[in-house]
Amino acid sequence: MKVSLQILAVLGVLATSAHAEELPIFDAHMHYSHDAVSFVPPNEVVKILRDAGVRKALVSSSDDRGTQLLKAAAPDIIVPALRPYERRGAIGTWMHDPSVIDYLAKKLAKFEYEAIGEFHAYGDDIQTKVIQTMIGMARERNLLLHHHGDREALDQILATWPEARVLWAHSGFAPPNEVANALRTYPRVWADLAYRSDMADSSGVDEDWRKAFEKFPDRFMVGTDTFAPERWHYVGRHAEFSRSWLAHLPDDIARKIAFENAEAMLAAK
Amino acid sequence: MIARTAFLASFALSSSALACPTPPDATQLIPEADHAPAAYAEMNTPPLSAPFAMLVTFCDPAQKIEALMFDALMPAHRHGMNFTVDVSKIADNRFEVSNIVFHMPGLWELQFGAEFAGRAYTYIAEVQVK
Amino acid sequence: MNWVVRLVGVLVCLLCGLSSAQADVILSKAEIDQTLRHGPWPPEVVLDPSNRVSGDTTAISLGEVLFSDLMLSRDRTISCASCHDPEQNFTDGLPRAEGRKTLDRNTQALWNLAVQRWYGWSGDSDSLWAQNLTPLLNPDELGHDENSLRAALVASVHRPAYEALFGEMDAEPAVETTVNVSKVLAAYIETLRSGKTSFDQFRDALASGDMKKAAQYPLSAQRGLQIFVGRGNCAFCHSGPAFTNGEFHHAAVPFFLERGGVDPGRAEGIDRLMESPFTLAGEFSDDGSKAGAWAVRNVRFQHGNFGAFRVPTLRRAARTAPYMHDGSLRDLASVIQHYNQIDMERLHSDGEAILRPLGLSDQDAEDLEDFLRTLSDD
Ligand code: HEC
Ligand code: HEC
Repeated sequence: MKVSLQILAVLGVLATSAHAEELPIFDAHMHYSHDAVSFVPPNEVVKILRDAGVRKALVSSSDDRGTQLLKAAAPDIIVPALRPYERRGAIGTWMHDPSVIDYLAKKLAKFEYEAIGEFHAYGDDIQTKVIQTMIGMARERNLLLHHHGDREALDQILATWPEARVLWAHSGFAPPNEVANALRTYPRVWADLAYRSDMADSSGVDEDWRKAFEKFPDRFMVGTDTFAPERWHYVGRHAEFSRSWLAHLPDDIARKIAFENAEAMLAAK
Repeated sequence: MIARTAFLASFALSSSALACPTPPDATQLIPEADHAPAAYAEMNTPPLSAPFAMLVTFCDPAQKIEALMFDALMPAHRHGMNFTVDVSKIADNRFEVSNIVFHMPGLWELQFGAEFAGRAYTYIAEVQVK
Repeated sequence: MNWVVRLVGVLVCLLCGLSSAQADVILSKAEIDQTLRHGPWPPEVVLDPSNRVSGDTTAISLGEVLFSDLMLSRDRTISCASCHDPEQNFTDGLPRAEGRKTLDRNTQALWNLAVQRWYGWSGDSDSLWAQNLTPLLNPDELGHDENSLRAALVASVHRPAYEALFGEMDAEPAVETTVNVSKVLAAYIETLRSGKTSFDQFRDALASGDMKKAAQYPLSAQRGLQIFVGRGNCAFCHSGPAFTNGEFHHAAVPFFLERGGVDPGRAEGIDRLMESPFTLAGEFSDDGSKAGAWAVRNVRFQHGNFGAFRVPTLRRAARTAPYMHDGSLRDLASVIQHYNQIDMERLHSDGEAILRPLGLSDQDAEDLEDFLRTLSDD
C-alpha cells in the first residue's frame, strides 16, 4: 500500500505530528452568501468552524447580511470584510455600477469592518471611478483590501494607494516565483492560498513553493473559499489538508502560515 | 493571450537558431532563459482523456540534466491535469514522461522544469488537443 | 412578368427550398470534424486484464443468472436487478435508488462499462469488478459480508458452475469468493453494449463522405448537434464516442443531501480509492503487469474534487430518466433548461469558463433534445 500513503499524506489522513493536529487555523478566505445562510444556518457554521479548529476567519459575503449574522453568532472567530457587491453574479460588472459606492458608504457607516473585499478586478478595472472611490474609502478608514485579480491590477491598486495593505486572493493563481516577486515588490502585500493545492505534493511541499515560504515566511496564509453553500462542509477537510502539508515546513513557518500571519496583517494598520 | 503568442513566437525564432538536431515533427520547448540548453519533445498526437507518453531530449552534451519536472494546464479553463505524471530517465539528457492525460479538448500549456547542477531551467510548449 | 408567373416562381422556390432543407447536411466542415470525434460506434470489444474470467462464456452466463438471484442479498429479498432492472435499461426510473433505505444517488444504467477508468458517480472504483463489491457488501443494499456470501454460494445451485471457473471452494478464503463473484458479475455486465443509433449512421455516412445518406439525419437533430459541439460547449465534457471524458466535473448541480450534510462526490471517491485493497494496484487484480494501476497511483488531490461527479455517458440517456447524480432533474428538457439557465453562482469564478447561460430559444432547446434522442434510438 505504498502507493496510497503518498496521497493519504496529502489528504491529511496521516498527520505527521501531534502538533500538526492541533495547529490553530486562521481561515483568511471565506464567504457566507445569501443562499448559504438558508442552507447552512449560522449556528451550524460556527460548529463547523470550531470542530475544524478554525480560530479566526476573514469572512466576506455577497449580501453582507451573512457576515453580520455570523459575527453575531461567533464574535470571537469572525473578522468581517465588506464585499462591494450583493450578488456573486456581479463579479465581472460591479466596477461599472455607481450604486456600489452608496452601498459601501451605507454599510461602512453602519458596521465595523477590517477589510473591503474580496473584490474581483483585473488590469485597468482599477481605474474605474467605482474602484478608485472604493480605494479612497478604504484609505480613509485604513482598511485592508482583499483583492482577487491579476498582477497588473495589484500594481494599479498600489499605484493608487502606495501604503495599502492588500491580501492577494489565491496568490493571484500565479506560480510561486511570481508570487514571491509581488511580495518582494510590495512589503504590505500578503497572499492567501485559497483554492490552491499546488503547494502540496506527494513528498510534502512543492520545492518552488517551499522556497517562497522560506523567503517570505510572514506573508502567506490559508483559506477555504466557501464560494458555494455546500463548501461549508469542506472546511474541516480543508483544515486537515492545510495541517498536513504545513507539517512538512519548519514549525515556526507552519504556525505563521496557519494563523499568525493573518493576525499580524490585521494588526499592521 | 495575444501577448503570450507573441512571446512564444519570439522564442521560437531564437531557439531554432541553436544547433540541436531536432527531428522534423518534434515540438520545440521554449526556454524561459536564453542560456538554457535547447530541448524538444516527441509525441504522437495526444489522445483525448487517455494516457500517453512523450520523450523529452536536451541537446547540450556539456550539461547533463539530472531531473525533469512536468506539468500542464489549460489557460482558458484555469485547470490542470487530474493526474500527476511519471518521469523516467532513459538515457543521458533523455527522459520519458508517461501517463499524461489531457481530459479536455483545447489548448494545453506544457511546463517543463529541468535541473542541472543546482540550477533550474524552465520551458514551455503548447499542444492543441482535439 | 405577370403575377401568375411570379407566383409560380415563388412556389417553385419554396418547394426547392423545402426539399433542399429536408435533404441537406447543414454542418460546416469544422462541425463535421467535431462530429467524427464522437465515433466510431460500437467500440472494439476489449477484455479486462484485471479480471481472469472477463470474456469467459461460463462466467458470463453465471453472471447473468446471479445478477437477478435473490441469493445475492443477505435476507434474500433483492438482487442487482431490483435496482438495475433489465426491462428498464438496467436502472429503476427512480430519482434515488431504493435499497434497504433510500440511497443518496441515482441508479446508473449499466451500458458500455467494459474497461473504463472509473466507476460510480464519484469514481470510488477503478475496475468494474471492484465496483460490484460495493452493493454486495453495503448494508443498505445487498447487505452481505464475505462469509455470508460465501455460505450462500456454497449452498446454492451455482456451486458447480462457480467451481468450474475457480476450482474447489472448500479451501477458498471468503474474500476470494466475494471478489470472484464480483468478477463473474463483471464478465456479464461487460457484455451490455448499446448499438448503432441514427446518430452513428449519420456519423458513419459523414466519415465515408456519403452526403446523400447523411442528409437523412433529421435537420432538427443536426441543429441540436451544432449546439452540442458549438455554443453549448457540451462536447468539452461529453466527449468521444461514449459522450463522456470519464472524468469528474461540476455541472452546477447542488449536492446537499436530504438527510443533512453533503455528497462530497469525487473528494470522497478518492478517499475510498485510497482506502480500498481492491484497486488495480492491489493483489486482487489478475493483471500481473498492473497495467491500469497508474490511474489510482497518480490521481491528484484538488479542492475542486469536492462536489464533482463523473460525466455520464449520453448513450441511451434518453431512456434512463431521471437525471444527475441525485436524480434531481426529471427529463431531458429539464436538463437542457438546467444548462440553459445555469446558476453561475454555484461555480468558482476561476473554474472552467465553459458553463454559462446559453440563451437557447424554445426551438434551440427542442433541437438539442432531438439530437440527444438520436443517441438512444438503437
Ligand atoms: C439499491 C439499489 C442498487 C442495487 C441493489 C445495486 N445497485 Fe448498482 N448502483 C446503484 C446506484 C445508486 C449506483 C450509483 C452508485 C454511486 O455512484 O455511488 C450504482 C452503480 C453501479 C455500477 C457503476 C456504474 C457506472 O456507470 O459506473 C455498477 C457496475 C453496478 N451498480 C453494479 C451493480 C451490481 C453488480 C449489483 C448487484 C451485485 C448492483 N449494482 C446492485 C444502485 C443499486
Ligand atoms: C463541465 C462539464 C460539462 C459540460 C460542459 C456539460 N456537461 Fe452534462 N454533465 C456533466 C456532469 C458532471 C454531469 C453529472 C452532474 C451531476 O450528476 O451532478 C452531467 C450530466 C448531464 C446529463 C444527465 C445524464 C444522466 O444520465 O444523468 C445530460 C443529459 C447532460 N449532462 C447533457 C449535457 C448537455 C446537453 C450539455 C451542453 C448544453 C452538457 N451536458 C454540458 C458535465 C458537463
